[in-house]
Amino acid sequence: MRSHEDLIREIAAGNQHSFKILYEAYKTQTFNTALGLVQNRQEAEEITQDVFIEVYKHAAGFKFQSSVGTWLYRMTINRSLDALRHRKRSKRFAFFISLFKQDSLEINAEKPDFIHPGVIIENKEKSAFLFKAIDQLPENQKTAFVLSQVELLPQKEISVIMNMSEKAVESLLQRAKTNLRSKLEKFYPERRKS
Amino acid sequence: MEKEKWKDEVLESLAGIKPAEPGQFLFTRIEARLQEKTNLSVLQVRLAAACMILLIAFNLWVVTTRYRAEITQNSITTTYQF
Repeated sequence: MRSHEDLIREIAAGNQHSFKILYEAYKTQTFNTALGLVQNRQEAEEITQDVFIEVYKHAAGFKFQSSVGTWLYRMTINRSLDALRHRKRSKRFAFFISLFKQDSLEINAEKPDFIHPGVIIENKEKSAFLFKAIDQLPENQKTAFVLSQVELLPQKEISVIMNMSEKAVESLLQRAKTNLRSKLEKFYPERRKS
Repeated sequence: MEKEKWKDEVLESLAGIKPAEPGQFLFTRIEARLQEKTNLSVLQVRLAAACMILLIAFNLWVVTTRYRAEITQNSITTTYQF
């Protein structure tokens, strides 16, 4: 059985069949990570496409300094965070335009709640609040939390992907949880308030 | 305390999560995009080659036109001298 590094070498030589095998091996990891970060199925599929096109284009330049899996995780995270920054800029621009146009569409409409398809049924409602809060985390905390809780990666692997020490990852996750608790404050359902 | 309990439950709501799968035709779309990029590259090369040929042809035309004009000018000058 060929290693994934061998597949990369074959893809670099133009082997389409090896590219398909690599895609099948990493499509779930790539899509699931992107989905956890961007919280939109269509965008996550676009990002997955972009990542594999990058793999195809740059297979020849891959230096094997990291594993293939780590390389794909990094590309996915970078593209997902780029998409989120672009989304933020578009929102700001739309808001700025709305200040000058009287008939502009409502741009402050909240995006629909994101429900991850893999969450178990009884947890779907609560997970929607969690993803809303995750969306407001700083990039590093968001990345670490998604890799840990959505991709279910151990801290050791997260530290390699994010290029930081395990202690730094542990600290990021702690801060993420503290931050999430504070953000969940405003999502606490009204009817429950005592 | 009910609020804190609720927060704990929310933070635990991803327990047992399964990974999401992309659509079954995603690889087909990737292949189509790669094919599009290949076609575009061939087109770009052809376009660049066509531009170069046009540029060289134009320069040749300018040079030969000026050369002919100079020859005509010289022969008129020569005629007037006699």
